[in-house]
Amino acid sequence: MKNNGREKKSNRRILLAILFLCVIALVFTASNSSASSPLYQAAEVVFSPMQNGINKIGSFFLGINNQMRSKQELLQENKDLQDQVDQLQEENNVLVLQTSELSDLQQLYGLSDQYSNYKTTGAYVIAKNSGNWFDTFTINKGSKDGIETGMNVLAGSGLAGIVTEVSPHTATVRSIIDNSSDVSAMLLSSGDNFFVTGSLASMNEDQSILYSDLAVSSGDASGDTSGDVKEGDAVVTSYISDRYLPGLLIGYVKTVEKDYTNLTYSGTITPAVDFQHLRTVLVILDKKQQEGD
Amino acid sequence: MGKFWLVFVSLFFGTLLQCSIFPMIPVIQTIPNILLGLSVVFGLMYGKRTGMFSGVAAGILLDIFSGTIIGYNAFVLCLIGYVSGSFNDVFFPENYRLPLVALSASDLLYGFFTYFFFFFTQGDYKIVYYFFRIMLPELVFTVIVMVFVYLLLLHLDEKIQHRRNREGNRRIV
Repeated sequence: MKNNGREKKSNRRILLAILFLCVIALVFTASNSSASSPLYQAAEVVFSPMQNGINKIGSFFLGINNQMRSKQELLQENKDLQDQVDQLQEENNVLVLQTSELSDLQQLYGLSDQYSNYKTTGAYVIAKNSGNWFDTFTINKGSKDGIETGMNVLAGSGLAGIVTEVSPHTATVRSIIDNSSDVSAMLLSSGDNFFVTGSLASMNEDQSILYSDLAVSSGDASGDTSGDVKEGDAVVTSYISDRYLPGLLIGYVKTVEKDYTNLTYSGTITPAVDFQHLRTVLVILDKKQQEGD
Repeated sequence: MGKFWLVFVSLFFGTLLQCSIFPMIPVIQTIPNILLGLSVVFGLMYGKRTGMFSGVAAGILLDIFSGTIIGYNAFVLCLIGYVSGSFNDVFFPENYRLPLVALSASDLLYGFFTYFFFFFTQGDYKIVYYFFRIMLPELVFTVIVMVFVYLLLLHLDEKIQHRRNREGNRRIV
């Protein structure tokens, strides 16, 4: 009995010691994200080979799934795509003309670097966040492939997220739909700046994220707001963001609501990226120039 | 020694299941919290000390894969493992009610903790919504998956005990 009591006491002591260490780790890593990188490296060595394998198996099953689609469907899709190709080709012709004109004009203004093509590298998503509360994912490239924290991550044509942790061969990305994500955005049509925040609740409800603080245009006293935000407007990252490169597509405006102050709009945005089926991403190797860099 | 390896290997496969395999299946919207379930089950089966150590290990793994701050999940799961370890005295394998109640309670607890620390403190007060849309589905799914994991672990544990008994007998003889 005496022995039992002593063990109880030592158990409680160990518990308190561990909890104390956890709190220290929490405070330490919350203030300084690079402090936790040895842990990430250790985890990578153990898990990433298996995760890469699982990813390959997953791709294999997805391949089978794709093969089983009916011929009819494929024919229809082929026809639709052909139409789209024609249409795009036409648009492309116009765009090529406009691009050459634009580059001429940009050269005139000395702006040629602003829109230059970013260097990118492709990567596979090998693990998702560990639960239902957060939206982060792990990719199969890391610091050995030139990935650094703060790099922007694209999927398809839209912005997917930002790299938050890097180990030699993997990196963790926080997606823009994560509840704690906050992106400085710009309305493509008017150039107005505002904020886009990820939201677990609205992502669950109807696959959308929230925006706020979009100014109501003040130019027209008669209440004509035709120049303001409309449903379907494209939203891109803004020039004044300190973490995101300018001009990356975030999504399209889904709903518009005037705030009670009548000065700003808020509402929801449908992201351009399909976060449900994220398999491959593109990491932009250029980082936004930070103050002091 | 068998116990240690059992915990180690199940945490490894638990992490793979929770972080790589379940998220890859397109139909599934909710991911079961297997690592939490494992720390609860190990606490029940082996007592406070194993409970809290497997809780810490599982928590650190969760922290690493959620990629934000290290220590939060380790803290919560360590507590949960310790508390479920204190029910080790009244635990016996044929009683299915205790693990079910313990799993549900700890997943709810985990949900409320997470809500409080990451959502409530950010001024997000939609707790009823989160309860029904995040916590409850996670709880149900976790319990369903853990029933199978639990049966498997019981079976493996029995084998380990069996082997240890046999070795012990041989030594005595």
